[in-house]
Amino acid sequence: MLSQESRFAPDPDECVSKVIDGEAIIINVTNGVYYSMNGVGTFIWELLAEGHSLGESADLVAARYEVDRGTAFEDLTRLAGELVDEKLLVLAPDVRPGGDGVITGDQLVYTAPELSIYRDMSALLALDPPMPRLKDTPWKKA
Amino acid sequence: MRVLYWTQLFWPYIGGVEVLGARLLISLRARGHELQVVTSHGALELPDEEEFEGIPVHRLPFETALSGQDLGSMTAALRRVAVLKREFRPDLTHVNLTDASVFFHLQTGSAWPSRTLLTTRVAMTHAVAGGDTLLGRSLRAADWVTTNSSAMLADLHRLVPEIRDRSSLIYNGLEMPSLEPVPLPFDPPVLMCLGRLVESKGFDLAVAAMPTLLKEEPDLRLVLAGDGPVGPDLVRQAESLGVAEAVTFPGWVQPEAVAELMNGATLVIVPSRWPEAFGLVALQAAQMSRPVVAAGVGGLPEVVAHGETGLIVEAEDVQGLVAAVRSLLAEPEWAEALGRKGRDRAGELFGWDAHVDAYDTLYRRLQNGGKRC
Repeated sequence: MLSQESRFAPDPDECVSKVIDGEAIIINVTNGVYYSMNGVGTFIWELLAEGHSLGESADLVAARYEVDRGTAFEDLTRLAGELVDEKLLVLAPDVRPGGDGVITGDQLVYTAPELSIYRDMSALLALDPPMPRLKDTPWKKA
Repeated sequence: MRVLYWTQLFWPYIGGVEVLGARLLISLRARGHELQVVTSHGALELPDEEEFEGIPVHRLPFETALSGQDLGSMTAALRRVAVLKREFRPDLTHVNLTDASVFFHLQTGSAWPSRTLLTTRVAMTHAVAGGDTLLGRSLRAADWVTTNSSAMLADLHRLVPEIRDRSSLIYNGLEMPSLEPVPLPFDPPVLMCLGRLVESKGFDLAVAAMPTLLKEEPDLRLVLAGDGPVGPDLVRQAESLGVAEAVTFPGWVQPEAVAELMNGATLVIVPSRWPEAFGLVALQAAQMSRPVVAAGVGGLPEVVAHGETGLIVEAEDVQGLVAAVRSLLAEPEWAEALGRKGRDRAGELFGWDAHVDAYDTLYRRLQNGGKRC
């Protein structure tokens, strides 16, 4: 059961991640499933991965985006549950964030965080390769 | 209009999809479209930037980045695609969905919001396309989806029913070769298979039919044209069945040499196990007035009209293949008639101008309208 105090850490054995131009891409290296998140989701991923609790993260989301804290907490809890289910985050009650996460500047438009899942990445990478042994084809030698 | 054409592989690759794509772009440019290509390097060492017939081609390491789970390469590729989209400002991105590279298109959607036309050219019979898959997300996000046979369209509708009102069939098309067909050779008769030498093409089934066929037609020849990993297996199979002298392997055939190759065939056999989305070889055979014996998988029964332009047999049914070949070789006039009808039908249903017209029209509709054209 997740609560205001729940804290997390990325599972170092299961996932690698990177935020690229404001969008997080996460790979479960064990099963080859890819994930991506929209802007709000990426902000939340960074907060949780830094060790902020759900409650602290809800405060920071409500400060950065045009959203009330209650909605932010509900969305956070849902997303954190999905990330734990996908084995991308593990519960880590003893971690603490490195900084206090001060938010400055104008508030941004809020869109509910979404975790996009690509379970078929491996299957698509293996889909009917068009030209096996292409290097051996005669035209290449010509 | 500006169109970003997205394809797994492109020229100088010369598989069916690549040749068709390259010809389509040349024809669309002649109709006033400004085009650029996004593709992968594939297995060859090719430049990142090149031009094909004056059309810019951008090659990115999509497959190696994804299969290697290389976030650094993915970052570089995503940024390059984003810059390319912002600079080219396409009205439409036409994605050929045959691999996972569409991930990079989806991830750069905010860089430049163009409409997306998604074309599938490979069988999706065994695919899954839920909301938690790249295939499903790509299909649902597209403004329009096309595929190249009714069988493939039915597969797509089964996978993602909600795209029924924004999807359509555009048959592959080919220009009629300048070379005229010659009469079918019967002295000796020649069976022809053309394509990649991979298990899914089922060329081993044609080899397996030879011992029986040779009993009645001792001079019969089988030509397996192409290249691929099961080539050595097919050679061994022919040797073990004692038919090696009747089977020849001319190797890879250049696209421009296909018509001449077809003229040397009495019958063309397409014994695929894999549900071919379309079956270009069957169309190439029909253009040269060759009757086709094809497996009833995927789009092949649409390209080969059973009893009119060739014969459809059950997949992996060697005895059925034997019976079909035997019946056509026994009645040369019937075989000639099927071939002539095949050529007529190829021009009527699978002509090049109709293929280009269909995409040109669809491009313009997507530019001018919403998702529901």
